[in-house]
Amino acid sequence: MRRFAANPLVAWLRRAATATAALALVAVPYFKFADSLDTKAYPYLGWLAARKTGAILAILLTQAICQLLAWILSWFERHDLGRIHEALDQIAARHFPNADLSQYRVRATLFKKRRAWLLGCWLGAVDRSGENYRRLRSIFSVNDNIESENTGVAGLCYWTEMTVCLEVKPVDDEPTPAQTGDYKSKTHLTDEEYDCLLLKSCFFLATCIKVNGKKWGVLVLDTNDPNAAPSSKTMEKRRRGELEHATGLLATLLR
Amino acid sequence: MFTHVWVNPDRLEKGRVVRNVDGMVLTVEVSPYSVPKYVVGRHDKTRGRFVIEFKYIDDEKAAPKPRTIGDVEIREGLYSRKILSISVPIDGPDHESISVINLHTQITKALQERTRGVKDPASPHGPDVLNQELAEEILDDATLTELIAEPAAG
Repeated sequence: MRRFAANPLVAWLRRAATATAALALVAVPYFKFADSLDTKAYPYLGWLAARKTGAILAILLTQAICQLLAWILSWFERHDLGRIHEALDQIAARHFPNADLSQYRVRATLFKKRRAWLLGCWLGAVDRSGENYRRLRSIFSVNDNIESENTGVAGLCYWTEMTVCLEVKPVDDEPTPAQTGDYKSKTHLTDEEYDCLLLKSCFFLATCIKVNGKKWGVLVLDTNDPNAAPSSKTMEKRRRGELEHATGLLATLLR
Repeated sequence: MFTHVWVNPDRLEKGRVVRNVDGMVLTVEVSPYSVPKYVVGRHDKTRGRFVIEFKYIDDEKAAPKPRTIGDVEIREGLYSRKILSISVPIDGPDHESISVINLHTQITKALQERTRGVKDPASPHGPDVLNQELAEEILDDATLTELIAEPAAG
């Protein structure tokens, strides 16, 4: 299930709802066996055990209120995601105006940095332009301190904090192991990540998205059209301007 | 009194590193958050310094301690280490006494010292080299002359 909250309040409410559910799981067995436990050393636990019904009701009520508020605010979240999708469609069209869309694909994907205790950090796809490739399972690992733990062009961009532009030779439909190995090393991918790729692109453009100066995530534009790379200085300068427009547009939609 | 000079992004040539390896072209370019939009020149009479500020598309906070190289003070972004402002001491109390050549020399020397020893311009540690290349390109004699000029009254 994809979880995204442009509004940090929704994320906090979800955490509060999870925390109260965990608390309920702990509280119920505790109250069941409280009478037989020796609570003289812990007077507060004794006080709580004497008011079990009240405590359980309070936990369940908090849980219900958090869930209700999160459900209401998630209506706005769907609205935010819709606007982000429109922005990504616009960004993809503006960056690759002369791509041959009858034969090739162009994509603009927004990745957000996510973190989980014990699992480290990674970039998870929030949304992608277009109607295809909607599964959005792409993830790349990132690490603020170890360069080799950043995978993919998105990870490389996250590590350097600069705009990264990569052109590689297009991969055939039936690539040889040598070609596959070459592609994986050039795009900094592990074997598992390569196997999950839906589109083996030959041109990538990635830039960090920052909120208040800190890295929020990465925007990646890619295509498998070998003629889409800018071929003149004018086009390269235009690309810089378009990227600035894209980051500005996304910044207004993210908090 | 401030003087504002807009940066023309189409004229900027620097700010990128290109590597060609085995049929692969990797370009690392300055981030859109580190391309200055305009430059402001300000004469700080009380401290006897001329301050050049770079404005970007975002409002990143400055790092608490500015980097001091000789007499030149450079304020950097807290997270991105891009140049937010350069403060240079000047000899006399008024605009007429600021020499463009002197200013240019001081700034160039300070910036060279700032990135001395940086091996990899794409590294996220240390000063943002690509942003500095753009700053140096923008602060040519013509721009400095405009920044120093007394703004028109009224």
